[in-house]
Amino acid sequence: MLQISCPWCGPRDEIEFRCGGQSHVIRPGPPEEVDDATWGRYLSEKINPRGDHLERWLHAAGCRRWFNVARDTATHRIRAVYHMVEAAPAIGDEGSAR
Amino acid sequence: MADTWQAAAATVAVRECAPGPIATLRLRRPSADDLARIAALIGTALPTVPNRIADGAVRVVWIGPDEWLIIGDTAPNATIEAAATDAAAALCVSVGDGRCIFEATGPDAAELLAKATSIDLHPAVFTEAMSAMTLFAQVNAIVDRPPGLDGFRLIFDVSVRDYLCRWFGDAVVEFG
Repeated sequence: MLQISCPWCGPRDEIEFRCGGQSHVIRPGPPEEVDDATWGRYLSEKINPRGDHLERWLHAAGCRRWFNVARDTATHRIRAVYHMVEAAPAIGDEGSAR
Repeated sequence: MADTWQAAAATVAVRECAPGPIATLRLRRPSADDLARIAALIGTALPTVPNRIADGAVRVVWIGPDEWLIIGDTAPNATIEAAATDAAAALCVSVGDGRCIFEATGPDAAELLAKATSIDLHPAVFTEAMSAMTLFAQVNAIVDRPPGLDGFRLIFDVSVRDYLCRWFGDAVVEFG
Protein backbone atom coordinates (compact mmCIF):
# COMPACT_ATOMS: atom_id res chain seq x y z
CA MET A 1 0.00 0.00 0.00
CA LEU A 2 1.19 3.51 -0.78
CA GLN A 3 1.65 6.06 1.92
CA ILE A 4 0.58 9.43 0.54
CA SER A 5 1.36 12.68 2.29
CA CYS A 6 -1.75 14.84 2.17
CA PRO A 7 -0.71 18.51 1.99
CA TRP A 8 -3.13 19.25 4.83
CA CYS A 9 -3.24 16.14 7.04
CA GLY A 10 0.20 14.60 6.56
CA PRO A 11 1.10 10.99 5.72
CA ARG A 12 -1.83 8.59 5.47
CA ASP A 13 -2.54 5.19 3.95
CA GLU A 14 -3.59 4.93 0.33
CA ILE A 15 -7.04 3.53 1.29
CA GLU A 16 -8.00 6.96 2.68
CA PHE A 17 -7.63 8.46 -0.82
CA ARG A 18 -9.31 8.29 -4.22
CA CYS A 19 -7.34 8.84 -7.40
CA GLY A 20 -8.91 11.31 -9.83
CA GLY A 21 -6.68 10.60 -12.80
CA GLN A 22 -4.54 12.95 -14.83
CA SER A 23 -4.13 16.45 -13.47
CA HIS A 24 -3.76 19.81 -15.24
CA VAL A 25 -6.31 18.86 -17.92
CA ILE A 26 -7.75 22.14 -19.17
CA ARG A 27 -11.46 22.24 -19.92
CA PRO A 28 -12.10 23.63 -23.41
CA GLY A 29 -14.44 26.56 -23.77
CA PRO A 30 -16.62 28.47 -24.11
CA PRO A 31 -18.83 25.35 -24.36
CA GLU A 32 -21.02 26.52 -27.28
CA GLU A 33 -17.91 26.92 -29.47
CA VAL A 34 -16.38 23.52 -28.71
CA ASP A 35 -16.91 20.83 -31.33
CA ASP A 36 -17.65 17.18 -30.56
CA ALA A 37 -14.16 16.00 -31.39
CA THR A 38 -12.61 18.44 -28.90
CA TRP A 39 -15.09 17.42 -26.17
CA GLY A 40 -14.29 13.79 -26.91
CA ARG A 41 -10.58 14.38 -26.54
CA TYR A 42 -11.13 16.36 -23.32
CA LEU A 43 -13.31 13.68 -21.75
CA SER A 44 -11.67 10.50 -22.99
CA GLU A 45 -8.09 10.97 -24.07
CA LYS A 46 -5.68 10.78 -21.19
CA ILE A 47 -1.96 10.13 -21.23
CA ASN A 48 -0.72 6.82 -19.86
CA PRO A 49 2.99 7.30 -19.25
CA ARG A 50 5.48 4.87 -17.84
CA GLY A 51 7.30 7.10 -15.37
CA ASP A 52 6.42 10.47 -13.91
CA HIS A 53 2.70 11.24 -13.95
CA LEU A 54 0.84 14.21 -12.48
CA GLU A 55 -2.40 13.05 -10.87
CA ARG A 56 -5.28 14.44 -8.83
CA TRP A 57 -6.03 12.70 -5.55
CA LEU A 58 -8.86 13.21 -3.05
CA HIS A 59 -8.30 12.67 0.67
CA ALA A 60 -11.74 11.10 1.01
CA ALA A 61 -11.47 9.86 4.61
CA GLY A 62 -9.64 12.90 5.95
CA CYS A 63 -9.89 16.57 5.03
CA ARG A 64 -11.89 15.73 1.84
CA ARG A 65 -9.78 18.06 -0.29
CA TRP A 66 -8.33 17.50 -3.76
CA PHE A 67 -4.60 17.90 -4.32
CA ASN A 68 -1.96 16.93 -6.87
CA VAL A 69 0.53 14.08 -6.69
CA ALA A 70 3.54 13.57 -8.97
CA ARG A 71 3.95 9.80 -9.00
CA ASP A 72 6.21 7.48 -10.95
CA THR A 73 3.83 4.92 -12.47
CA ALA A 74 6.55 2.31 -12.78
CA THR A 75 7.92 2.46 -9.24
CA HIS A 76 5.02 4.15 -7.35
CA ARG A 77 7.58 6.57 -5.97
CA ILE A 78 5.87 9.86 -5.09
CA ARG A 79 8.06 12.69 -6.31
CA ALA A 80 5.98 15.66 -5.15
CA VAL A 81 2.68 16.60 -3.51
CA TYR A 82 1.19 20.04 -4.13
CA HIS A 83 -2.05 22.00 -3.86
CA MET A 84 -4.60 22.22 -6.70
CA VAL A 85 -3.85 25.88 -7.37
CA GLU A 86 -0.11 25.33 -7.66
CA ALA A 87 1.75 24.80 -10.92
CA ALA A 88 3.35 21.44 -11.61
CA PRO A 89 6.80 21.25 -10.00
CA ALA A 90 9.90 20.72 -12.11
CA ILE A 91 10.91 17.10 -11.63
CA GLY A 92 14.53 16.40 -12.42
CA ASP A 93 16.19 13.06 -13.02
CA GLU A 94 17.84 13.07 -9.65
CA GLY A 95 16.17 10.64 -7.31
CA SER A 96 14.48 8.69 -10.08
CA ALA A 97 14.15 5.19 -8.72
CA ARG A 98 14.32 3.40 -12.06
CA MET B 1 -29.51 4.09 23.32
CA ALA B 2 -27.46 3.00 26.30
CA ASP B 3 -24.72 5.48 27.03
CA THR B 4 -23.12 3.31 29.65
CA TRP B 5 -21.53 0.79 27.30
CA GLN B 6 -18.01 0.00 28.34
CA ALA B 7 -15.29 -2.59 28.03
CA ALA B 8 -12.40 -2.69 30.41
CA ALA B 9 -9.18 -4.65 30.74
CA ALA B 10 -6.22 -4.31 33.09
CA THR B 11 -4.43 -1.59 31.17
CA VAL B 12 -7.07 -0.04 28.93
CA ALA B 13 -10.73 0.89 29.20
CA VAL B 14 -13.20 1.96 26.53
CA ARG B 15 -16.46 3.65 27.34
CA GLU B 16 -19.13 5.35 25.35
CA CYS B 17 -19.70 8.99 26.27
CA ALA B 18 -23.09 10.59 26.46
CA PRO B 19 -23.71 12.47 23.20
CA GLY B 20 -23.63 16.26 23.43
CA PRO B 21 -24.10 19.16 21.07
CA ILE B 22 -21.82 18.88 18.04
CA ALA B 23 -21.90 21.16 15.00
CA THR B 24 -20.06 21.27 11.70
CA LEU B 25 -18.91 24.77 10.84
CA ARG B 26 -17.75 25.63 7.37
CA LEU B 27 -16.55 29.13 6.45
CA ARG B 28 -16.33 30.72 3.03
CA ARG B 29 -12.67 31.68 2.40
CA PRO B 30 -12.29 33.06 5.93
CA SER B 31 -10.10 36.10 6.53
CA ALA B 32 -8.29 36.73 9.81
CA ASP B 33 -11.13 39.09 10.76
CA ASP B 34 -13.74 36.39 10.08
CA LEU B 35 -11.84 33.91 12.24
CA ALA B 36 -11.52 36.43 15.06
CA ARG B 37 -15.23 37.30 14.90
CA ILE B 38 -16.32 33.64 14.96
CA ALA B 39 -13.87 32.95 17.79
CA ALA B 40 -15.48 35.75 19.81
CA LEU B 41 -18.97 34.37 19.03
CA ILE B 42 -18.26 30.85 20.21
CA GLY B 43 -15.72 31.78 22.88
CA THR B 44 -12.96 29.63 21.38
CA ALA B 45 -10.25 30.27 18.80
CA LEU B 46 -10.56 28.24 15.60
CA PRO B 47 -7.37 26.20 15.09
CA THR B 48 -5.84 26.98 11.70
CA VAL B 49 -3.02 24.45 11.97
CA PRO B 50 -4.23 21.06 10.63
CA ASN B 51 -4.97 18.22 13.05
CA ARG B 52 -5.36 20.39 16.13
CA ILE B 53 -8.11 20.95 18.69
CA ALA B 54 -8.66 24.14 20.68
CA ASP B 55 -10.40 24.40 24.02
CA GLY B 56 -12.36 27.38 25.24
CA ALA B 57 -16.04 27.83 26.00
CA VAL B 58 -16.50 24.96 23.54
CA ARG B 59 -14.06 22.52 21.95
CA VAL B 60 -13.17 23.14 18.31
CA VAL B 61 -11.61 20.41 16.14
CA TRP B 62 -9.87 21.13 12.82
CA ILE B 63 -11.34 18.79 10.18
CA GLY B 64 -10.43 20.70 7.02
CA PRO B 65 -8.81 23.93 5.87
CA ASP B 66 -12.14 25.78 6.09
CA GLU B 67 -14.07 23.35 8.26
CA TRP B 68 -14.29 22.72 11.99
CA LEU B 69 -16.26 20.62 14.44
CA ILE B 70 -17.68 22.54 17.40
CA ILE B 71 -18.24 20.35 20.44
CA GLY B 72 -20.01 21.70 23.50
CA ASP B 73 -19.73 19.49 26.55
CA THR B 74 -22.46 21.21 28.47
CA ALA B 75 -22.77 24.43 26.51
CA PRO B 76 -26.17 25.05 24.98
CA ASN B 77 -26.71 25.17 21.24
CA ALA B 78 -26.90 28.96 21.42
CA THR B 79 -23.23 29.41 20.50
CA ILE B 80 -23.68 27.14 17.50
CA GLU B 81 -26.72 29.10 16.37
CA ALA B 82 -24.80 32.34 16.80
CA ALA B 83 -22.00 31.07 14.58
CA ALA B 84 -24.50 29.94 11.94
CA THR B 85 -25.85 33.45 11.49
CA ASP B 86 -22.41 34.99 10.91
CA ALA B 87 -21.80 36.41 7.43
CA ALA B 88 -18.69 34.28 6.88
CA ALA B 89 -20.45 31.00 7.70
CA ALA B 90 -21.18 28.85 4.66
CA LEU B 91 -22.57 26.09 6.80
CA CYS B 92 -23.17 25.53 10.49
CA VAL B 93 -25.39 22.58 11.29
CA SER B 94 -25.99 20.47 14.35
CA VAL B 95 -24.78 16.91 13.78
CA GLY B 96 -24.58 15.65 17.38
CA ASP B 97 -27.52 13.25 17.15
CA GLY B 98 -25.80 11.52 14.24
CA ARG B 99 -22.56 10.87 16.07
CA CYS B 100 -21.40 8.58 18.85
CA ILE B 101 -18.37 9.20 21.02
CA PHE B 102 -16.03 6.73 22.68
CA GLU B 103 -13.17 7.30 25.07
CA ALA B 104 -10.21 4.93 25.30
CA THR B 105 -8.12 5.50 28.41
CA GLY B 106 -5.29 3.81 30.24
CA PRO B 107 -1.60 3.11 29.57
CA ASP B 108 -2.34 0.81 26.61
CA ALA B 109 -4.92 3.08 24.91
CA ALA B 110 -2.58 3.92 22.03
CA GLU B 111 -1.70 0.25 21.70
CA LEU B 112 -5.38 -0.65 21.41
CA LEU B 113 -6.10 2.03 18.81
CA ALA B 114 -3.06 0.99 16.77
CA LYS B 115 -4.89 -2.25 15.97
CA ALA B 116 -7.39 -0.26 13.89
CA THR B 117 -5.56 2.74 12.47
CA SER B 118 -2.13 3.34 10.99
CA ILE B 119 -1.81 6.86 12.39
CA ASP B 120 1.24 7.27 14.61
CA LEU B 121 -0.29 7.63 18.08
CA HIS B 122 3.00 7.76 19.98
CA PRO B 123 2.78 10.60 22.53
CA ALA B 124 5.85 12.25 21.00
CA VAL B 125 4.10 12.48 17.61
CA PHE B 126 0.38 12.59 18.40
CA THR B 127 0.69 15.13 21.16
CA GLU B 128 -1.98 16.51 23.44
CA ALA B 129 -4.61 18.61 21.64
CA MET B 130 -3.96 16.87 18.32
CA SER B 131 -6.64 15.21 16.27
CA ALA B 132 -7.00 13.29 13.02
CA MET B 133 -9.89 12.55 10.72
CA THR B 134 -9.09 9.12 9.39
CA LEU B 135 -10.24 5.52 8.98
CA PHE B 136 -10.57 3.48 12.16
CA ALA B 137 -11.45 -0.20 11.85
CA GLN B 138 -12.48 0.55 8.23
CA VAL B 139 -14.96 3.28 9.20
CA ASN B 140 -14.62 7.07 9.18
CA ALA B 141 -13.55 8.48 12.50
CA ILE B 142 -12.17 11.52 14.22
CA VAL B 143 -9.50 10.52 16.72
CA ASP B 144 -8.25 13.12 19.13
CA ARG B 145 -6.29 13.56 22.35
CA PRO B 146 -8.19 16.08 24.45
CA PRO B 147 -6.03 17.95 26.98
CA GLY B 148 -6.28 16.41 30.42
CA LEU B 149 -7.51 13.01 29.25
CA ASP B 150 -5.22 10.00 29.76
CA GLY B 151 -6.08 8.57 26.39
CA PHE B 152 -8.05 9.26 23.24
CA ARG B 153 -11.53 10.23 22.22
CA LEU B 154 -13.13 8.89 19.05
CA ILE B 155 -16.13 10.25 17.16
CA PHE B 156 -18.03 8.02 14.72
CA ASP B 157 -21.28 8.02 12.82
CA VAL B 158 -23.95 6.62 15.12
CA SER B 159 -24.88 4.02 12.50
CA VAL B 160 -21.65 2.10 13.19
CA ARG B 161 -22.01 2.21 17.00
CA ASP B 162 -22.99 -1.42 17.48
CA TYR B 163 -20.19 -2.61 15.20
CA LEU B 164 -17.68 -0.56 17.22
CA CYS B 165 -19.01 -1.79 20.56
CA ARG B 166 -18.35 -5.34 19.34
CA TRP B 167 -14.98 -4.33 17.87
CA PHE B 168 -13.82 -2.66 21.09
CA GLY B 169 -15.19 -5.50 23.20
CA ASP B 170 -13.11 -7.93 21.18
CA ALA B 171 -10.04 -5.68 21.01
CA VAL B 172 -9.65 -5.14 24.77
CA VAL B 173 -9.53 -8.88 25.53
CA GLU B 174 -5.81 -9.22 24.82
CA PHE B 175 -4.99 -6.51 27.36
CA GLY B 176 -5.99 -8.81 30.22
